[in-house]
Amino acid sequence: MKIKTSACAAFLCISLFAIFVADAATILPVNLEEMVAGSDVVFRGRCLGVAPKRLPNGIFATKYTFEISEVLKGDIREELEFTQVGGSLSNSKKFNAPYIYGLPLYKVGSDYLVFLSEETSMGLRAPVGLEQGAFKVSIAADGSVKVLNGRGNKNLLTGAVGTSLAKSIEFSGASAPTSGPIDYSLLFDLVRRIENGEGL
Amino acid sequence: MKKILAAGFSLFIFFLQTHSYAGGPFAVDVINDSGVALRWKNDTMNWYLDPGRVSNSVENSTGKDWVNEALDTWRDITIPNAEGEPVKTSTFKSHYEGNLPADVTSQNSHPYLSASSGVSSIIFDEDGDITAKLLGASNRATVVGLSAPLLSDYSGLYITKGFALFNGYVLDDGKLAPESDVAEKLFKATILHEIGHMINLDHSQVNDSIAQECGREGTLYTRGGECGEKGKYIPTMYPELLTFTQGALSMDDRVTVSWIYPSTEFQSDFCLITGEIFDADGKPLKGVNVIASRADVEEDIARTDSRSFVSGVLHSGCKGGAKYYLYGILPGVPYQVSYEPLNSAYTGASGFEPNIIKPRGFETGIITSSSGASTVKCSKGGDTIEMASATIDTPNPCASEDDGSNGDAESSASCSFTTAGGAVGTAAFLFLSIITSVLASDLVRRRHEKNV
Repeated sequence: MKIKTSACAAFLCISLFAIFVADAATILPVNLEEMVAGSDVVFRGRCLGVAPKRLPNGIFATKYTFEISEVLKGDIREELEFTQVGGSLSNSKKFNAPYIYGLPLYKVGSDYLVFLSEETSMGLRAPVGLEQGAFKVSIAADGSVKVLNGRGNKNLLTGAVGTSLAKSIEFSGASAPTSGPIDYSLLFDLVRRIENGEGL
Repeated sequence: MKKILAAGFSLFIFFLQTHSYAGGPFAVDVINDSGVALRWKNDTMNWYLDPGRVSNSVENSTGKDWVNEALDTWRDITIPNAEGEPVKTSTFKSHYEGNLPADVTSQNSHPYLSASSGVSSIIFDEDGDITAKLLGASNRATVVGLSAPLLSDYSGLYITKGFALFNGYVLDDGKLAPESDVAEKLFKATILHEIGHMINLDHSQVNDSIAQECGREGTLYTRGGECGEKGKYIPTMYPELLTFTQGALSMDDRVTVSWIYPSTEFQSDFCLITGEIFDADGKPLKGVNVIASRADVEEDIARTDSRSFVSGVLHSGCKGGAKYYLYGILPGVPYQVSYEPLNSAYTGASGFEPNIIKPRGFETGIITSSSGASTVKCSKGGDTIEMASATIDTPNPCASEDDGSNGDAESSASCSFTTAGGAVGTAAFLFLSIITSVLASDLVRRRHEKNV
């Protein structure tokens, strides 16, 4: 009888709430100039911590902690903590929250370059253009340092005709690849030039 | 007792939640692992509308017209049969239930966007505030739409709740496109795309080479929403908004919605091509994009009459083999079946999910018929063509047979951030408790017995 009651109650429960899946979004392309303009801080750093949590309003989010190695824009010190809506697939499941595709996730110990938006009134931040504004920093076989964002750097250096980005590319003497990993030093140089208004 | 039920509830959600990869359905049945795509019960999506404005410049009634237009487009699906006569191939429909009780803002949006019980809604984020509050102020101008089927009933077969949110902020002041008529077309293409997700279509990369070509020629802004003459070949469900011509459904879009919600004519007037992909060791190779296109015809027809399916998409993780099903095949005309890797540029919200199984390192190839022919032809509607098994010599993300256990997606942020081996998902289902398994299977069994 007791088992029957339990099963019945569980049935009602799962009849109401059976499944969730994921969010899909339409995100516009963002090039480097727009990333710089839209970001509050731009930094290179190593991910030190990942802490999923639920905000007071019920929204599932993840707090990330970074050890900063280089600041390209903004005023930040050795360490930065920020909270981003959503989280990993497994943590989304643990928190019964929809998994949001397109938001970059960061792995503890890995090196990233992040163009981060300012904090919202909910205390949340995300990279500009979501996955487009977060780059994994890695060492190539030839020893050079490369960066690649969640869209494979697609559109990163495009749409630049007549813009400061185009002139920065021209001044830096670089070609503008349409996608694929690019040198960190080139991206660093371009960000500096755009940030300093050079080429305008 | 309450604790047991609460545990059972949350674990059941773990068990049920899923997402396929691309080139097919957004969510599949994982309760029975039946290889079935989820659909709205009675093929009808009942929805409520946000009564607020679409944007500063667009009022609610216009937005409602746009949504209705998109829903009508997904409802009125026809495909020409062998005689060239348009045949209604889908049974999907929708029903407008009325307005939500209040204008949806960042203050009250959470219940509509969350995986808790409630109504299905279409939300206008008039000033982009919902988007900005969640994703940061600078993303107010980058995210156009967000959507998902959120819940299904206990059978795991029917969607019971979904949402689509449209960010009206991008419509004003030339943010989406300098000309307002182009911006409107792009916004309407986004509505069609996001509602496609809501009714359980995933992304498709049919005619990816043309989409890539379009992307290389600049962004939406520099191209003014145009992708030239060939833009018409880019599906509505392509992972990126590239051109306003995505506001018209491609053959691939129409075939996909038709096989999820098939009419009798879709099954009787058209054929099916099916087969399976294996790696060099003879293990099923999931995550390969397979395409059937008209052969021996001019490019326009071949590009238009194309549909795709990702191998193994109907079963989660590494389960269920690597079968593909290419529907909407016309009798009496030849088709060529080919395979290609999924595009690595789309890994997140706009694309193929980061935990998907996505084999890399192989080139496009042709799949032959069981007799070795490079094209196939069915004789009459309703026939099924079995292709020869295709073998692709490339590392298989499922080779370790860990059933997609990536542990924590911090290690699978996106495909570009991970190795293929780490980009495999779904093992959270293994967290299922025994008690929940017993209850769930008992319910499924009783339901099955009742149906029988």
